[in-house]
Amino acid sequence: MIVNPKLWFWISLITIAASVLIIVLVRPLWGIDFVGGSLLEVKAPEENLEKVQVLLEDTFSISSTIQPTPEGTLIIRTPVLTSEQHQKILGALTAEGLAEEELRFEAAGPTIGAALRRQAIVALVLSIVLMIAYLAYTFRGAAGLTNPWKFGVAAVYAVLHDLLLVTAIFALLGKTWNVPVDSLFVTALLAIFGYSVNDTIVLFNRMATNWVARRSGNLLTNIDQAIRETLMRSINTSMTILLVLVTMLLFGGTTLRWFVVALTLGTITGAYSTIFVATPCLYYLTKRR
Amino acid sequence: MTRERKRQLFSLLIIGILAVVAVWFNTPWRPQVQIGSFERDLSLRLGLDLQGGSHLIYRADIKGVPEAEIEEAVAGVRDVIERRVNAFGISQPIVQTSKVGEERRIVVELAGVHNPETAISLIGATPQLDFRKEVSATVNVDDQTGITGPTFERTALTGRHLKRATVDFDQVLGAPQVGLEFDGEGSDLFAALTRESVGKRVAIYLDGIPISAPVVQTEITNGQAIISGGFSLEEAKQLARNLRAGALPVPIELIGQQTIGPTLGRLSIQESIAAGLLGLIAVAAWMITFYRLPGLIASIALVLYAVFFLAIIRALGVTMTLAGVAGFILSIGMAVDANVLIFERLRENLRAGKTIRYALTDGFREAWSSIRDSNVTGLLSAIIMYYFGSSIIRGFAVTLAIGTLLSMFTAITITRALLHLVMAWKATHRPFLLAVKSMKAL
Repeated sequence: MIVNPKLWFWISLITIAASVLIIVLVRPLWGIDFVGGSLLEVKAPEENLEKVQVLLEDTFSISSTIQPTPEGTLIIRTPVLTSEQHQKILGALTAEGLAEEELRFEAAGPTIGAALRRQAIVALVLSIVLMIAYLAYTFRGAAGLTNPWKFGVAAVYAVLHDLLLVTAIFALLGKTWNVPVDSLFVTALLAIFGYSVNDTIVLFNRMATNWVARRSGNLLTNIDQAIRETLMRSINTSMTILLVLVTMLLFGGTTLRWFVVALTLGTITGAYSTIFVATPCLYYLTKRR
Repeated sequence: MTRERKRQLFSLLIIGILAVVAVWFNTPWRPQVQIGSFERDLSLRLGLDLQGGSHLIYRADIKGVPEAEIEEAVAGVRDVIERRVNAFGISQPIVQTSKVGEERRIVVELAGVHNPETAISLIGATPQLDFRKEVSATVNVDDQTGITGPTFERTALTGRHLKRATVDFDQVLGAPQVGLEFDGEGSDLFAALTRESVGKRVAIYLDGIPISAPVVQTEITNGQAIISGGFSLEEAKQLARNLRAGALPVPIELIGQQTIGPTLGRLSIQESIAAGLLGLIAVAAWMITFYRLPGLIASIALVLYAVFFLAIIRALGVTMTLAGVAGFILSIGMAVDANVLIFERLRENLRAGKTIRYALTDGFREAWSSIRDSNVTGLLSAIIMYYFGSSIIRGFAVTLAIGTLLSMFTAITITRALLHLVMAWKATHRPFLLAVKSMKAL
């Protein structure tokens, strides 16, 4: 038996609870596009990090968090800078020989953040509603056996598990490596959403087809067989996606590194949650019919 | 030749033609598309994050502006910014207005501008509207603009004194004209200016560029003036808008900016190409190891996928951002999902003892519902992303959506056509090539 529904259902509940707890307690490091602020990436060696920080603090009384990258650049996060401040800081950094070249500069005022946060929440809620509706529609053939809405609910439960888990990991990464939760991260969440549901659908599809074809048999045996039949596909698809994500991690640039990390984590949990989160959930939903 | 065989060869022919066209689109000898006023040179459009440049987001302060006039006011601001940016000499600046919630924004994209400070101060400067009187053409008092011909001299009257600029119509002829109304001080200055200039011209300058120079008929003391003279309605509206913008009907505020240096963009392109190629090779290697001959066919389809994708991006004129490139590379990994679904079914059918022909056609048929559902959900999330997103996220969403649709074609239609072609050859009917332990002989 691949799935012990009771055990795995509890594990998924605990994972979700722990993720929520981490998100609430640790708090993600919100990206500047969500809360406002400036980001400055300059070409400079890591040993200049502290000098830069001191310079910003002493000369401009600006508090900053600075993070070195493997490419020999420093990413400097500060509260919102005006254009003049930005120019002066850049001038001071080059004059002191602390930085060679500005690679990028981003600034976002607080109003942008408020709109983006609202949009992000709308997008996620909309995805959930649409997915449940679409799954209920596509599994209407199984209506004689169980309420088709249950497929949607179980799939979305698994997706929520994935999104919360990845967000919690990013909250921790934010604490240790200053990894921000920004609109790019939300994009990754939406992509994970699509992938995780996709993986779950293939399994549920097989389950429903077998179920309708047999109209009998133990629910658990049925689930178990569907998992066996779709396991290779699930592994292979995840592997091909992971292969391209890993090449992007290794050879792609720094700008999208954490975006790719989020996608990688999502691909792994997306494949995991199909079997160990969505399936136990569906089992309990249909058993209590 | 059976009918089925003919149909298969026909679809192969179509695929071949499409592939040749797609490859052609991706070569330097690509065609220049021109249909009427629609023109496209099929070059790959790179976003600011790849070619370097500045992205500025302004908020228009529309507080207190009546609902009906908001559109006009924001459009006025856009025109002003566009003129200023153009004067700055940047190639193909993009100035767009957008509505985010209740907020009105003006987005300015300046490709190739890595130091936007000058542009920012130019855009943010208070627009200069001023009225000038005609002086003798021999004396060039106004040497700043270098305009020859009739020369105009600055007066004290500026846009600060303008209370209103409206479009109205000539009572007799019904021709569009622009009405001006000055405040108290402006009225006095305007009266003095017109008294001096009867029979001569008064020029209206915006940001140092003359936009209109009507001839003064009589002295005007009530602080109201009419600029007439063969305007079309559009021109009159434009002028009124310019005049109002000169008087700053809507203040703007820089709320966000993003500047990408030239090095980072160039580096990102190189890295993305490397990552994309290696990703493609890795996926192909995986597919061939696992599925052998069908895997090889899927890899050929995957290469075609990449070629078609680039051709479509060029043809549609989609701007590729870094996130868009990431979406494309990710979609390479996802594009074979349909193949995996089909090949797993094929293997199952072979193991169950079906002959190759039926195992193949049934495999495609049985996998379809899963392929359809997973692609629909993928498309749904791409559409939601598009509506959620800023320009960067939209780039990702668009490439993901194109990739999902295109992969259905390459992974199903192309793979099927090629597999049928190859499988017609009996030598391929070996367990090793089909990655099964044993199979029923024909």
